[in-house]
Amino acid sequence: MSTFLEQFDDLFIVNIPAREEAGEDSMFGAVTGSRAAAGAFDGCGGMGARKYPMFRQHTGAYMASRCISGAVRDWFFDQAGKDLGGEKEIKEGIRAYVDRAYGVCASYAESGQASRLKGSMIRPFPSTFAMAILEEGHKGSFRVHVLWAGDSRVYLLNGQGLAQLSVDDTRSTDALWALRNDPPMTNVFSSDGRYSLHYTSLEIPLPFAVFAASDGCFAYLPTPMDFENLLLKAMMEEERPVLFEKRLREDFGRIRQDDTTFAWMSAGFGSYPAMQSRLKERYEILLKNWIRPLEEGGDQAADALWQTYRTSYERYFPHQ
Amino acid sequence: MGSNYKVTYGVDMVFCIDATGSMRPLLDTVKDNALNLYEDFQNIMLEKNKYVEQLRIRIIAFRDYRADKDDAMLVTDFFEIPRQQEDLKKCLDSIVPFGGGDDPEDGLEALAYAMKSDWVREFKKKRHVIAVWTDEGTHEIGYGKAYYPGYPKGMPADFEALSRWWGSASEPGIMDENAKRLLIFAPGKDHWNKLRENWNQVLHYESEAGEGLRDWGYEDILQSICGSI
Repeated sequence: MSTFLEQFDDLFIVNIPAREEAGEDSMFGAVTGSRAAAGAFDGCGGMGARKYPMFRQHTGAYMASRCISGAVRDWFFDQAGKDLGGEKEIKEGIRAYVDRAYGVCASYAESGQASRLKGSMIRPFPSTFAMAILEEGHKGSFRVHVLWAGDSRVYLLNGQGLAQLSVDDTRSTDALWALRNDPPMTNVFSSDGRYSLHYTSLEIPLPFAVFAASDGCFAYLPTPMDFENLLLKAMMEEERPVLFEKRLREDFGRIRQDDTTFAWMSAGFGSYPAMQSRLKERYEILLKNWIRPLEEGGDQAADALWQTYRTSYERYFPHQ
Repeated sequence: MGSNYKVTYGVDMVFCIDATGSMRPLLDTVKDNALNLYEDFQNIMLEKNKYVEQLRIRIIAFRDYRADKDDAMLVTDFFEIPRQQEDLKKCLDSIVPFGGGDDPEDGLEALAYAMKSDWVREFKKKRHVIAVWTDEGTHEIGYGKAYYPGYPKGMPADFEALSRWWGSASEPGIMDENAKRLLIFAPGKDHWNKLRENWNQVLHYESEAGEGLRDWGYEDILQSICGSI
């Protein structure tokens, strides 16, 4: 077994559609001998509300996320055994696969009646993009490639707590402000090619978990601290990985007001009990410093508490 | 976090309805759409597991200041729906198609009135939606000023000023940049096209000039609004 696989622990995906058979999120997760990837893609329901008869009346948003997850899957497996290269090669490679898939999708779409809907709120086959790729790094660490567009996010969770690795394509990078203001996105994938795919790469010491999440996971909670609490509480209270996954499904299902996709990978812990043990101290700090004061102080306390939490939350923030 | 935490929505909609004579064959459809909107909107949102705690609708019926003088603009306060559904119905029933003079109408003034609405601020998640229904293009804003002494004060001086009212991501105007949405059911002519090309958060359902909108793209528009919330 490769050193990578010896250190790689787990990958699972939770996907909950807001409406059965009509979920506009899609996902991807895979492990090969030397790398693993997890991605969440959120078809944008407002911008992509147009329905296509040739796609069994599914919306542009529904088709877009699936187009992307399929293209990413092809790209990922085609890289098996090859060096991924740097930012340029990875971004160009993914774009080429996605644009090819978009081309097929759009050519079918054009065979239907032209839409009368136009304007800046409409894009052809719009979707967000959030994906993490793990590879072996220097001794005791893994390299994390982070790719994103829109407001789906890639996060890291380790003994220092939750950290956002991607930066939303919205007017502000402040995660609490985003929860309160629900800003429109300024960049999403679209078959017209007018989109940017962002990239950053980090070398992070093991152990840690990294995951991609659509906004259904985090955008309907009161604060970013509540998101970390949801994750760690579920982890601490469940005895086995399968129960942790089931618990997250239940918790996300309880708060969900949107399609929800959560694609998780963990590495370096060695076992689920070891992960619990490693993150237990962090959970206690989170409860003491933020969650209990939030419960006591409510909305009024949230701003000040967020400022004390934010430095750590943004510790890996990429400079755009 | 309490286990019963639920994000609730406050949604305001301002309907700017062309009430000139040429709208006669279409006005009933527009009124029906406005009346059915609450139930249809709420059903779609509940399907998506989203709860709209407050929905308010305001009506602006517009014509042509030069031709229709005092009857050029009817502006109501917000109706809280469903509590004031009957009042909304009475208001809509009172709109009868007449006047209009030449082909273009004063839709831009209606838009200006709509932007200055007393929008909901209280809810964490909110949407401020303006919907314009017309079968014609627009005059330049201020066109009626020279012909009607009662032309409202405080209107934007020109289209550029109106665009600044709408604002952009880099230079917000008087609208809440995160909450605002503009839906236009109109022919692709005059300033409607310019709006579509240059303003953010705009959805234009384009009809043929003079022909009117047969189905008004009601379902498409509804899905777009709900999808963006």
